[in-house]
Amino acid sequence: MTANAALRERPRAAGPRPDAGRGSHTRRRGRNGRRDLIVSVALLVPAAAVIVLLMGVPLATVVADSFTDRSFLRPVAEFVGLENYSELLGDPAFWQTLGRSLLWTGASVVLQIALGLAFAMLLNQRFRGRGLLRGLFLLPWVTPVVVVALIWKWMLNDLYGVINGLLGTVNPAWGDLAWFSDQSLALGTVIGVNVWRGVPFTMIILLAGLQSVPKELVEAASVDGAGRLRTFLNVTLPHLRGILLTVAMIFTMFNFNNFDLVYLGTRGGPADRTMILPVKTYDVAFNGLQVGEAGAWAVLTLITIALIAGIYFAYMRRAERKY
Amino acid sequence: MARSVLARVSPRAALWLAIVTATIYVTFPFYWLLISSVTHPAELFTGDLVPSRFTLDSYGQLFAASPVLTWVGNSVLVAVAVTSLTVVVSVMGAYSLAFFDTRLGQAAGRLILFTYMFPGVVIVVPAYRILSQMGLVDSVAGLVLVELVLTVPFCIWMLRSFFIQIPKALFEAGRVDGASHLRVLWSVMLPIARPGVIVIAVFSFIFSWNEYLFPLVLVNSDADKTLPLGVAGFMGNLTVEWGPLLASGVVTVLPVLVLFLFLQRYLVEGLMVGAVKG
Repeated sequence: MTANAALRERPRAAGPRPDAGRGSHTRRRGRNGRRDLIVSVALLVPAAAVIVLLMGVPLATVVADSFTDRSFLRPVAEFVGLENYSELLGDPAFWQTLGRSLLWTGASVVLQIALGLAFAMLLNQRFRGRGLLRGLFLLPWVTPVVVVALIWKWMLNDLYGVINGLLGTVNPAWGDLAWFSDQSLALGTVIGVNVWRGVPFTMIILLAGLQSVPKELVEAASVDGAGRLRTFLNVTLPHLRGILLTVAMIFTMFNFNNFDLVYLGTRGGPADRTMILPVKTYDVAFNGLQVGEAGAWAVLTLITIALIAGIYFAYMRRAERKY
Repeated sequence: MARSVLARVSPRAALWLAIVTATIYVTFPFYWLLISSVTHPAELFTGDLVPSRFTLDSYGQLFAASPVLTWVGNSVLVAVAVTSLTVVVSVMGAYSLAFFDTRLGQAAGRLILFTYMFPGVVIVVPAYRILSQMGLVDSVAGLVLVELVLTVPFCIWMLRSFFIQIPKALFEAGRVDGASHLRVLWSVMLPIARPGVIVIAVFSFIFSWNEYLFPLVLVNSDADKTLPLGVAGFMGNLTVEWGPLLASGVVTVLPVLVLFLFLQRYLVEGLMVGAVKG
């Protein structure tokens, strides 16, 4: 059948006229265009099925559950309207968790981007072994989070940790710090580990951005007598603007949605000091067994991230119009 | 202050100082995991940066006392299945998004970006409920199915950025010659975009190998655990000693490190192409 189609279409397409290509294209659009449409839709069906069945259906389920008192302990659930939501919104613990999530996200994003940019600029220099380092520097990002948590809990152990040992030689009190279980340190510790894990990814994207900065621009600036700092601030940084915004947005989502690093590091403890929204949602569902209430946590998490994304998009659109 | 003095005296030395510092920051944790896992128990808690006595006892204890080999097998099975399915689904989807300029394709592209917003917990709570009704909790099939949601959106997006670099003329030439879409995809596009296919295959392997939340929720029995889940179980278990625990960490991370270092040229380029074009 394909061969037949080829025979039928060949003479039209192979005409000697200079506009043959375009002409045949326009003429083919009627039948072939429709077939193209069918094929293009068909090719998207498996991907669409994955997204609809694995995201759409769970989303609908979680929203529906959030209006019920569903629990893993009982087979039936009753509709309770907005009760779960009104309970959460009236609970100071919810607002604290939300605030902590924003702090965790903001601090992680800022540090990941700042350090990632520094590393990217370093790897943008010319030196021997640069290619090797570029690959090596990505390792934290491909390492299973379980292993990331394990390594850092081992290095920061208050009794045997190698970092605690080194700190202890400077100041004995520092050697005994319980990084993951001290109430005032835990959040900072998991943020620090999260930065170590995220930096490779921000670095590689920002490095791609740096390499797309036209060399002539940088050279022209230095010929004009601009120092390195001025060149960076006035030439490189504005050029990176779009990529920085995109990275910031992606990492805001990654961090806000993070579950495994915090859960494996601290389980949200001590005394809820690292309890962020996704960990709380899990906790309510699988330790508290309250599916309905967990649904409300999940939906409020989604609404928050959607609001943040909306702000980013609005800002990006405005920035695009301006430049 | 000290750094700026150094930078003025010798920019080259300053550069190397920065490189060495950054390299230690990134790689020391891996060195420490590996070296601790083979350090003799008598020296494990001394904190010496280079221990003098080595042993594989920790690995011996690990393999003797726990079903680690079963977990390795489960992890391989899940990762291979997720990778194969992801590649097929993503190649089809990315081809469609890259070469047909239909409005539907554009809307689908936006939807894929949108899926990044989804927290895993939002999916996993209802997924557990649905899968348990279907009897798919504690099964490799259920886990593979659900994990596709982690890999497919990212991989379609990444592969699309490889496809759109291929001149459209090649695609149209193939079509005008009468080749079917399958034919054009198979013998024209895929060979050119092979690095992209390698990139998404390796990424989906790594993503599913590393995944913790989905197995945590969807697997209960010891026999069906994946490696990260097993290791996490050790971490919360006070009777497990540091030696075997660290050894289990090495077993979990080693396959991804090897895979990554062998293919890093493709992967770094893939990420960078995706960053600029995506």
